[in-house]
Amino acid sequence: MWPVVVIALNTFRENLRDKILYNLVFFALLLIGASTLLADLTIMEHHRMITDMGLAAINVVGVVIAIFVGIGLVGKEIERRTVYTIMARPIRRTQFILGKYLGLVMTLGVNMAVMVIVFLATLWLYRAPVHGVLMQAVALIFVEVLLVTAMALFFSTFTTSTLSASFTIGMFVVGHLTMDLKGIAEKSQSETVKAVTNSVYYIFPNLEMLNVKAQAAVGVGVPYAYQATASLYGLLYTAALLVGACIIFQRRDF
Amino acid sequence: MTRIRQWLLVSGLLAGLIAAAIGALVAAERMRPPEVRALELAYLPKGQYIKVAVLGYRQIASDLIWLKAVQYLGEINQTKKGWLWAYHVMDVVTDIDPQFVAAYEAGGAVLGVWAQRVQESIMLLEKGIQHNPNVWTLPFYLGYDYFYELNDPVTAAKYFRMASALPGAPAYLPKLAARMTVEAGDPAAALEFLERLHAQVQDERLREALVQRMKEVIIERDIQFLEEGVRQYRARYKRWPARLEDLVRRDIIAAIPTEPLGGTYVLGSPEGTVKSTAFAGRLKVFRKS
Repeated sequence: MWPVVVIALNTFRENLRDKILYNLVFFALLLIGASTLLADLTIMEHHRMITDMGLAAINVVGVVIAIFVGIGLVGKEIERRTVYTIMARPIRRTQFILGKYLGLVMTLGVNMAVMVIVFLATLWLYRAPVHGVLMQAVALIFVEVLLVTAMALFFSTFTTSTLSASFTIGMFVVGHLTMDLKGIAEKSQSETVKAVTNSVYYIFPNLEMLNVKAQAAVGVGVPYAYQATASLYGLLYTAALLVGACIIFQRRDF
Repeated sequence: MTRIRQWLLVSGLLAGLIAAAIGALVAAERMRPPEVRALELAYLPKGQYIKVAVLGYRQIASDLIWLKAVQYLGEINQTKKGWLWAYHVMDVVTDIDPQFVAAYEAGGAVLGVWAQRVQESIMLLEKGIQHNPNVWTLPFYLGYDYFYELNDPVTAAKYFRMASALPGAPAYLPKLAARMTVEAGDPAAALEFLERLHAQVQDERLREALVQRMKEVIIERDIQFLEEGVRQYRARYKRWPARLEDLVRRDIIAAIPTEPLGGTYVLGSPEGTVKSTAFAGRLKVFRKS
């Protein structure tokens, strides 16, 4: 267990050295800049737009970091050949993968916590209402980010960084569309179409299950039981991807 | 042996995780409040903002929103808010892609015929005509709204004439438009129009709504026919008939028509009027002023 923690802390430090947290400046500027620009709109719309913009920015920034840092977690170590020095130590490959993943999760956690604080401060500054349900949306966004990180890591264990990024972005987009795909399939007359679309639906992650931003922005919450089940789904899918990544990485020749 | 056991263990763990994830997905699907899905589109930003946000991919964006809208159209209740939401979605879709004729057609027809949200239907169809002046179905549906829902055969005929001059318009349209203007208030002309419209639409629910409208028009036609008989009876015998069967017995009419909604025709009050036991209202459109 200890090697996992060491690798995680090292990854976290490496991320800090790579100036990943600089994105927060971009986030803060975007949010405050947009809020100031929109300040001449009517009160209601103005508040809603700050909330919408804040939640969307938290989501986008989180996902972008998860994808572009996630694909480099393992790939960069292999390309730079630093993986050999790590593997020469008494560290299991599984521990290496899990450590890398947890390190990035720590970075994302810190990043998101700061973003949420800036977001709440902006809301407070513009006297926009702060609903408790905003935190429901943020919690589900974090689960989504965990899942996307696992996707990026999974792909990076067997392909190049460019392809991993393409696959992860592709899976992210599909993940937001599968629910509609299933809806269309249900209305289809053909059994084959139904079977194919249903398989696609269950194979790809359903990221829409983790998306309640629109409702949260207007103060409409979802039941806690739903939030718990949707989070459980995201975490189980993440765990499956990590197990898959470990299996593939175990079989790779160095 | 231990290697095999280890692989079995890992595969079993993976399979277990996938099965549990699918189980959780199915459970979450059931728990997801229906309003969450409706809200996804109800809080859709205005089309002008989305247009900018989707860069050059306007058609794809409008297709995706349209697909979502079509999925959930059946789920919204026929409440004022629900239909306003439907109008908002159609408005956004056509803001992003003003040439999306299917959205105007379906939106206009559903809002007008099915939901009886006439004003929204008219706004959507007028917007459609403005951006697609060569599509005959848009003024045709607009004609329906004016003729049937707003009791304005003159404006309706104007739109039918507009539709009939456009490419692809069916040959019967000019004649129908003329007939509806000249014989405004004639149920037979309305019935013919509804039959044409029924042949035009594909959606089953819309077709059912139109069949219901046709039955209401048939009832109106039958009531006008029976009331004429009652007047003849009164002129001949200087008193009102006690029941409708008297008209048949005295050879004023051949038979009492079958009521299409499953009710029967009876004499109403004030004296001299006839009503259906299944359909209480009279259709405004045929009231001659």
